[in-house]
Amino acid sequence: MRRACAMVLMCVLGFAALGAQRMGGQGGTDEFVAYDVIVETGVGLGAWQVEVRPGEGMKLTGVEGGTGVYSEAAYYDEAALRGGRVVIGDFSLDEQLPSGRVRVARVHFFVRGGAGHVVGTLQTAGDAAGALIDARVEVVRVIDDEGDAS
Amino acid sequence: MNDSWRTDEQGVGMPEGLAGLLRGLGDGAGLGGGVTGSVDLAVLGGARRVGRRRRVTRRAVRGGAVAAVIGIVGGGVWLSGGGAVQPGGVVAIAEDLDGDGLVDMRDALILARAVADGQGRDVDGDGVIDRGDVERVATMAVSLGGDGGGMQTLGVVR
Repeated sequence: MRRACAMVLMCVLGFAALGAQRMGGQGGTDEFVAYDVIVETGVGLGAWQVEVRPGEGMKLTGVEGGTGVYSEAAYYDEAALRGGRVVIGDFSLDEQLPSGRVRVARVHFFVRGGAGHVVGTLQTAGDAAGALIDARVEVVRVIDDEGDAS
Repeated sequence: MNDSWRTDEQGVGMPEGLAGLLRGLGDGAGLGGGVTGSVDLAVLGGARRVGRRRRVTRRAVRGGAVAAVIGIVGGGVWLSGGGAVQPGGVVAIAEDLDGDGLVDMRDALILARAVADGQGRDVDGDGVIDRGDVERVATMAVSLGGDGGGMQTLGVVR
């Protein structure tokens, strides 16, 4: 009788552990993560607009500025805080516009289960006069100073 | 049934057999050997009145459909900002500064430069050309409410 009870208890604990692992995605825990949005262009970046599409279980928590002339938080629709994709963008009238790899924004997400995958799509990029320019976008997960993903 | 009924002024005729049958029916109903000309005219008048009523109803339905189409097209133009149709079929609205059919962040930059130069366009309709107009374009560009995936796609009437 005692042995049967122990077997049942072990089965219950096993299923509970399996369920917890499944709820935690790929074995991770719920956490906040940040992604840098980088626009790469050969000429001064006067305006940019990027669609960021988070993976399943990810929810936008905020949009932070990037560097230089784009250090202020970019424009975005707060409706994105309810989940799903977000479109961010900004422009600058500065005379010294950045070129090359420009970090234009940092996007924060809450990730259920610790796994996340974010896709960025460049919608438009313009030069100082607002004319369309060639550019590409990269969305990179932020790693903090201690080497941990934030 | 008399001869005038069988081939009346409308040219309506019938086989002799059918005419005889109807004549018998009239006799059985006590009509005294036939339908008088006044009854014929009354029946014809009634039929014409019904026909007129149906024509009036059809015209009303047709008119309603035309009005509905005009309403839908007009409403669509009004909803898309009440802009004018440009060559190529794109409905132009004030926020689309470069006229490419999209409202994006480049439009905000173009307007911001114009406002800085003392020019620009009053897109928010408050009678003043200022930073508020630029904000409106930038906000519209990233809005998730449009059908253009952030970039507000304007109506196309090709």
